[in-house]
Amino acid sequence: MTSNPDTRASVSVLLDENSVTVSVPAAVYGREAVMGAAYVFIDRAYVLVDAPADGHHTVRLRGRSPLDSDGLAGLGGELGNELLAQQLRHLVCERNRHVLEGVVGGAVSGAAGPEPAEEFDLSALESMEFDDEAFEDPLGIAMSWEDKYGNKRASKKEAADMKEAAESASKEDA
Amino acid sequence: MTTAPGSQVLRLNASLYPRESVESATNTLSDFGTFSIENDGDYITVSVQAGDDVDPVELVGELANFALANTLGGGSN
Repeated sequence: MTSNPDTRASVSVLLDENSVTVSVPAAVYGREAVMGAAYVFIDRAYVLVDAPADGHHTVRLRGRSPLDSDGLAGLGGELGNELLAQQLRHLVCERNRHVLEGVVGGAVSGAAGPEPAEEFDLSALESMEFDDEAFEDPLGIAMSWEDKYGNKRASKKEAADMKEAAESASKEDA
Repeated sequence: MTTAPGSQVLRLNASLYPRESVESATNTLSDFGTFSIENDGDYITVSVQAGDDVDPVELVGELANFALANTLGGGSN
């Protein structure tokens, strides 16, 4: 089995320096993944990230407390696992970026409340002059019913005739 | 580059560590030593002179950690 040296990762332990250096290809692990993975270890080690010109990122972890060879190798192994997790997280975020932006955008716009209603332009009313004189009403819209059609009431005779007609109609029905 | 006796040098890749993050880290640790920042091609070189009763190796390590944290957190604080 042959492998391309440009995509090969390596771990080197320097016991006398109490450090382990992990070198990973930049084509496989992006800058964000490397920096994010290195940050996880700042509570246990002094971390230095570098990017040599050969297309690799290197992360050097120097233990805060003295570590033996197995401890340093284990630290490097944990960094490798964290690199994989960070790179996967980065890929998932990139792949679902439009979904995340949609959800966050909807939440923010919902919290902002409804858009203000369109305001009517009432400036024309300020130029109008109101006084006690009546408006011109050529169609008689503002007139009352009585003024327009008169107060027509049935006379007593008409009322008696209507009552008699109603009674005769009810007798015929019976 | 010449360094004063007892001083340490930290070289940070300028493509990974913004200068603002490094300057902020030195400000944070200014009580524990003195720092001198210089641009050196693709790297930012920080000369560290540890204060009294301060381990210079430990101070350089903390400086690298603070620079990394500032880089990921925006670099200003």
